[in-house]
Amino acid sequence: MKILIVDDSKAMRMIVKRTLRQAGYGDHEFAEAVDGANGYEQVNDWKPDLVLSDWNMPNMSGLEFLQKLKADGNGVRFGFITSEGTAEMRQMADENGALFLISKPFTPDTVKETLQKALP
Amino acid sequence: MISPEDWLAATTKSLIEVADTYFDMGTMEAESFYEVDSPKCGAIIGLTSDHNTVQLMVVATRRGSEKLGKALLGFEPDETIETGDLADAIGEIINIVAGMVKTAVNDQDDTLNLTLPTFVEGTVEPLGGQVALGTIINIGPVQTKVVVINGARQVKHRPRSSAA
Repeated sequence: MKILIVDDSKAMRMIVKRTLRQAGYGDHEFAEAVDGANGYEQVNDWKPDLVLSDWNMPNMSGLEFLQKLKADGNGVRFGFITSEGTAEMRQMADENGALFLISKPFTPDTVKETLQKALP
Repeated sequence: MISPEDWLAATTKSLIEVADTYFDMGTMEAESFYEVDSPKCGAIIGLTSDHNTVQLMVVATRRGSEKLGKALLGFEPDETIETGDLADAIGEIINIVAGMVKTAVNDQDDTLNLTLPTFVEGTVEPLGGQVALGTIINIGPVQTKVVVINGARQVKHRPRSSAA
């Protein structure tokens, strides 16, 4: 499976990748993008199976990124990993077609459980 | 309006949870304090709305911040961490903490917006009309200070003359 990690923080991209490895997803392919705009380009070029995106990012937010993909008719599996997890954000994520929203800080167990539920 | 004590409690709780999740060094809340005048290295972030304005800061010594940054990024203890990576790592810590705080106080103010985190190295001085208070949290061997600066005016940042 090809997993695209989208976050403007290099530190967080490293943490997400390390956590995915710890959660048992180490043998999958990873790519990184630094914001929603870069993520959008990579979705079209690299064609990932799953996008894990931050919410608050410069240039294009995670929500705008998801909305742009949906407007294109792109059905790539999409989940948020974000530092804010209010009920309102979870509802917005859900309404816009995100499969899940994981709040930071997250553990390998949280990630594993969430991905097992969200992926076929 | 959310009180400085409530901001501090939420921030302290959030930092302890972040530290326990990512650092695995043991975390202990030590004591409260009311001054932030010694040179420190860390990150600051704002939470603002029409009703509340607060700045949250997590600081340690430069060496302490480097230890936390390396642990977060998975560096070996003897590896060098560049300032850009350190800023990114420490900025991410305060970003996560602030996101948790925003969620924690959402029932009191659901209109708060986060600012971008800023890496600071030097002395941070609250200006007149601001209330600053904090707590010392020991994350393994690193003594960190959580500081809450409550008030509408901006914090004055005085860089160290020998800043890295």
